[in-house]
Amino acid sequence: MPLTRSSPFISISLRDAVSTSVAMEAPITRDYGRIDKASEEWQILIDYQLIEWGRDPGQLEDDDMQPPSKDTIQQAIWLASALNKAGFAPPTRIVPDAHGGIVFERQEGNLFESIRLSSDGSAEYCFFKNSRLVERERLVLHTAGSE
Amino acid sequence: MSGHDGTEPVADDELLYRRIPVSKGWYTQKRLSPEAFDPRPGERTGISLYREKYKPIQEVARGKGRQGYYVAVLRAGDVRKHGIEVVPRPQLDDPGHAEMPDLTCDNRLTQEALERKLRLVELCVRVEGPFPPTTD
Repeated sequence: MPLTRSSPFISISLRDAVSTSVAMEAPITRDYGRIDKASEEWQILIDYQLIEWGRDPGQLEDDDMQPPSKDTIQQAIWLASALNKAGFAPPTRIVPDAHGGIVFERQEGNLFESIRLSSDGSAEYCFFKNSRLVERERLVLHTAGSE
Repeated sequence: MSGHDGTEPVADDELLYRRIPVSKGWYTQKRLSPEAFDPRPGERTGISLYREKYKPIQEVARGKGRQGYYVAVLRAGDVRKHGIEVVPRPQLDDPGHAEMPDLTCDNRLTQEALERKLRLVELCVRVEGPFPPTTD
């Protein structure tokens, strides 16, 4: 696991379900497609957003705000791949911040969580409930380059 | 001093505009990111806002953004109810300029600032745009 601890909000998906022929109607627990869909959403974010940013970070330079560096984008690609591999639900979106960082955001109702990769290489997880910060943690990322 | 030089206090019923560069992806699929209210480099005394009574929204959306801007609309009284202050900060060329002094680029990662940014997303009345890039 890349993170120091699991998110309380984004729970790991069940990967293996036992299929039987007892119930003829599809039960809600047997949703193999959901896992594939989540993985597909991650892959779309990696392939069509993060890798595109990495090809030309300058496209994110706008309105006097610095774009994320190639290193930060590379770190985001690694993190997205690791979270996907670990079965975490994909973020609602991934955005650059105004200071050269990248933020993974996920929102469901009154719950909001984010992972911020800052331009100095640090990473932080935040979990909010009703706009109140209820958990905040520095993350230690063991990226491919640091192993 | 009061009147129309921008120094009068921001009234609770005033609408305020926050400009959001389209290129950043902070407003997509009708969802606003808290990053829209993250203090930007240079916003040392508070995040910039524009008072509706001084400037039409189309004027607020004029700027050097490469892909143009969205504009988030807030009501002063709503944000004050949640402890976020709004003060006039008129500039020579822009008497309708205002700021939220509780959100600065120096305190942007404090717990209070993180919560305020998320609260502002909730309090946003609407987002207008995108407004196309301008050449001037």
